[in-house]
Amino acid sequence: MADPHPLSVPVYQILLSLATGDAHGYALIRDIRERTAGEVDLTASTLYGALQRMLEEAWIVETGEDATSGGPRRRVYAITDAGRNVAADEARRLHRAARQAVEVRLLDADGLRPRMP
Amino acid sequence: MSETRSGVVRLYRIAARLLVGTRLRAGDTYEMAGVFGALWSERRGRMAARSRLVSREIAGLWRMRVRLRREAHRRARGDDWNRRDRMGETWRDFEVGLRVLLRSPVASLAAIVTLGLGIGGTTAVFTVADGVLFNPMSFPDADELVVVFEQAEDGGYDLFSHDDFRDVQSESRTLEAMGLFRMLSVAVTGLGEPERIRGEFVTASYFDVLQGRTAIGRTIRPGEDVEGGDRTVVLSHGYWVRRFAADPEILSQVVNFNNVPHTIVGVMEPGFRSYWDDTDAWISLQTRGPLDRLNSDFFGIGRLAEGADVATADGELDQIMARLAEAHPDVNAGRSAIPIDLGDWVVGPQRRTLVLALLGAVGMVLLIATANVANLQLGRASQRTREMAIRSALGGGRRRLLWQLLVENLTLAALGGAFGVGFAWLALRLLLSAGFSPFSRFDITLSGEALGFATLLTLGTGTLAGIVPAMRGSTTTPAGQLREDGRSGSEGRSASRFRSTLIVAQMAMAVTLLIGAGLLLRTTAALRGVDVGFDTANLLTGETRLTAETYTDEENRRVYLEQVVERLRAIPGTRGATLVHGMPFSGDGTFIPIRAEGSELSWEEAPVAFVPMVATGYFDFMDIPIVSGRAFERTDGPGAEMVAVVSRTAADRFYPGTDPVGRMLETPEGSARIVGLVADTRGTLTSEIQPTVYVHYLQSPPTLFSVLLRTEGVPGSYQRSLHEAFWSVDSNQPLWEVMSLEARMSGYSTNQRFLSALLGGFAALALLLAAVGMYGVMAHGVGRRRHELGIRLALGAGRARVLKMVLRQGLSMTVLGAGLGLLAAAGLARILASVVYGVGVFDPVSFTVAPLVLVGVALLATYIPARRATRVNPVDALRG
Repeated sequence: MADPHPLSVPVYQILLSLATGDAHGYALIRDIRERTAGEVDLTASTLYGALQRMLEEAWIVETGEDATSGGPRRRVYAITDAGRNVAADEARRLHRAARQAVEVRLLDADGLRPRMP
Repeated sequence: MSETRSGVVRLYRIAARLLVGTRLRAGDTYEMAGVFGALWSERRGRMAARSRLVSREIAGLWRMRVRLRREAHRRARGDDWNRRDRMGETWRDFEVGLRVLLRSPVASLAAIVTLGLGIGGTTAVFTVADGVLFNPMSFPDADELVVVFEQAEDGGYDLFSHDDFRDVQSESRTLEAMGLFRMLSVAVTGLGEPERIRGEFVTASYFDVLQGRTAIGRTIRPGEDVEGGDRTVVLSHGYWVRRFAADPEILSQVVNFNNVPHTIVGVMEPGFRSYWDDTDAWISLQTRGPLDRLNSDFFGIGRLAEGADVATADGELDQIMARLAEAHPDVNAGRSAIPIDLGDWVVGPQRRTLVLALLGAVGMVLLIATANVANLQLGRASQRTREMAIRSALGGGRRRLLWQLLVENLTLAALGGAFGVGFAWLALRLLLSAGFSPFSRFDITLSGEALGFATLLTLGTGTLAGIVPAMRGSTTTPAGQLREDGRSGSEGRSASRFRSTLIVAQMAMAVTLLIGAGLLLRTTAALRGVDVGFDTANLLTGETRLTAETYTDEENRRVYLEQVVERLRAIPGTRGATLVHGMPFSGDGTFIPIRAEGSELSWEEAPVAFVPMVATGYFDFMDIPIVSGRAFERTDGPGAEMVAVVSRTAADRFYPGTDPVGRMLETPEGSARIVGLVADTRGTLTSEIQPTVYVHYLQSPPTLFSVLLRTEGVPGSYQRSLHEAFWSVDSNQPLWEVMSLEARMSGYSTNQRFLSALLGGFAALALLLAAVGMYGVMAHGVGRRRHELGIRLALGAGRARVLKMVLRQGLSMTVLGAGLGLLAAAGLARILASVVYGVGVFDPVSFTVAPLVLVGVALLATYIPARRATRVNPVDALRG
């Protein structure tokens, strides 16, 4: 197991988004918001706080700048192999946690709705 | 990029650079600000969402700062920067600020209370404004919703007909979905005691428009909302819990709504709200008339498709309606359709005026409060220029000094903010207290957004109040300042001019608010004095509608109505009862085109009169004087000649200058002989008196009517006996809105009374704060000029002369402020025009009394320091 600490929600969600392809900051916020149906809605400060940490850990790298649509230049980020491993570990951890909830009969087998007593 | 956006982006970058800039790579704050700008733009038109975004960003930046500092610390020391260190760092900044404030506790307390009142009032009113003005209904994506009306040739709004709706629905591309609805009180029977609930008759598509989901079951299906379809109903969650004890087996049970059996097919989610407040049930579309193209009976509501706005939808609907006019020229000629933004429609012009006036008023109070604190800080800063000069000479960097001053001010503002949140909570409870506030129908609680707003406001106010003195304090050049004789912390002419400007502005705003309060106070007085033309005392009223099959027969209706009046008259402890369709202050009634006998006018041109249907003895009961002729008799029955009694205004309209008694009136349905002339009455407080033509309830028996009971004691205590007597005739007939007539009347002046109370409160607060500000500045001025005053007195200036000099100085600021305030009030008066009644918006009394009150209070505030000026002992002052 790479890291015993659970990942923060922003970090985990950013890794998931980058796993589908490189992206710049604003695209990440939108992708995460859409994928989680609005449940996770990052702000600029939470996003860049997380990105900075992830760069230090080498879970992501900058691949260049995107100057499309004539707007200001925007940095584009990509996930590294280390990042993929960390995200996968976290996903497995969450899966185990959900399975335990089913085992103690807190959740139905499909894991979606509370069991009726 | 819009101007506001580039503005907030720049502010964000400044904040980011200040908080985290030194520890990030170059360009990072640019990127962050860019992303913030995009998020800001996404929330266009959603003020609450924007303020939430800003408060989240501030919190996020602060957390980022703490984390970056901790990591820098760890790298430098090689160990973890523990929690105590971090707390210590933040606490020390705060502690310094607190210590400075404690050095002059009274002044600090005054500043905190002043700020708190301003911030608290603003937050409370913002919460209301947010709920009413910016987010009037809690629909998903409410800004895409429009109400849709048909428009007649003359531009008047008209409801939608069923067939026009079907065509528009299928052809429109700018509306993603469109539905019809109609709100009605619905009688529910077959479930024990009959009751009235709030129902909406709706099309299946209504739920698509509002994006509503059911908790159990389903919504109404297409095919059920047309004539001959299955009659189905969806219950609100609240009604399901209240009436059916949340029984999950409720589906497919049959209940009678307006005596028609309906099958329950679903229950909406708890949070679901539709157009009407507190709707209990949504019922598959049906109506008294047929569902066709002629019968315009329904409100339209639509959701704009992506990329469409109100203007494009308007254009497209007009095209569709033009095609329909060609295809059906007999009914649709000249008709068009108009979509209106739902928020604009619901809020309405008067409530919007209210909110704008309140926001303006509270903003002024906040500005006055801020000016007071700025003055206080300025005074303090001028006393500390020496301290700052020494610090700076000893090597305190400019940045560091500025930072310290800012922290002091932010500490002050934070304490003021904390007090303000408490005050806001209290103010909100007062604002929304039941039975008084016109906002009570909205679901408003002191929300997270409002708290975020208060936080922003606190920071903003703190910076604003701190920035001027801080700039002064930190730009001091040590050498120049130390060379000067710092006898009592003298200050420059520019600072003193700035402080006078603040006072003038405060006075101007106080006068504006006083005039606004005066206008509303005079309005409520005028409304209280309105003569409605009948005796309103001790009247208990209730409303009902006859829906049962048996009452479609006129004769059955006559028998029923006569029995009701008879039973109500028999209630012990009462002085009579009557029955009327079109009761004053009920909002009900019928308008019919009427013309005098032999008139050449067509029905389209004929004036429209208000036509109440009244019981025998109505005029006597209401104490409406009969001017000539007679009242209705029991003999004016169905077989007798149609008769009418006209009001003074109606008589003047139809038979000007002659006695109308004995003449005939024509309606599209037939004619009636005028048998009596009665005095005018009012059915509302503010609108013009309507020409009224009374008819007898035995000749045109109404289905919708009100009952009135004249009681010996308090009307409210007769509620039960009224219900019992009423139900003794037909226990399946609901009776609603049972309340005294005076309660109904006060409902018509709620907005004015509410606004006058609030503006009165704000004006008093503003006056108090302005007086405190004036006192502070004059006292400070006298203290600073002790030396000069001493010389004047020593040279023989009389004490009276010194007193006059100081008073004149205060008075000139006040008069200037009052003059500016009068100009501002002229603008305010225009905003208030829709709620002011009975006095002109430029009411000379309000515009004279308010400045006089201000001058009086300002003189009082100036007098105390002026007196002190005359008591300066020349010897002491010169010895310094």
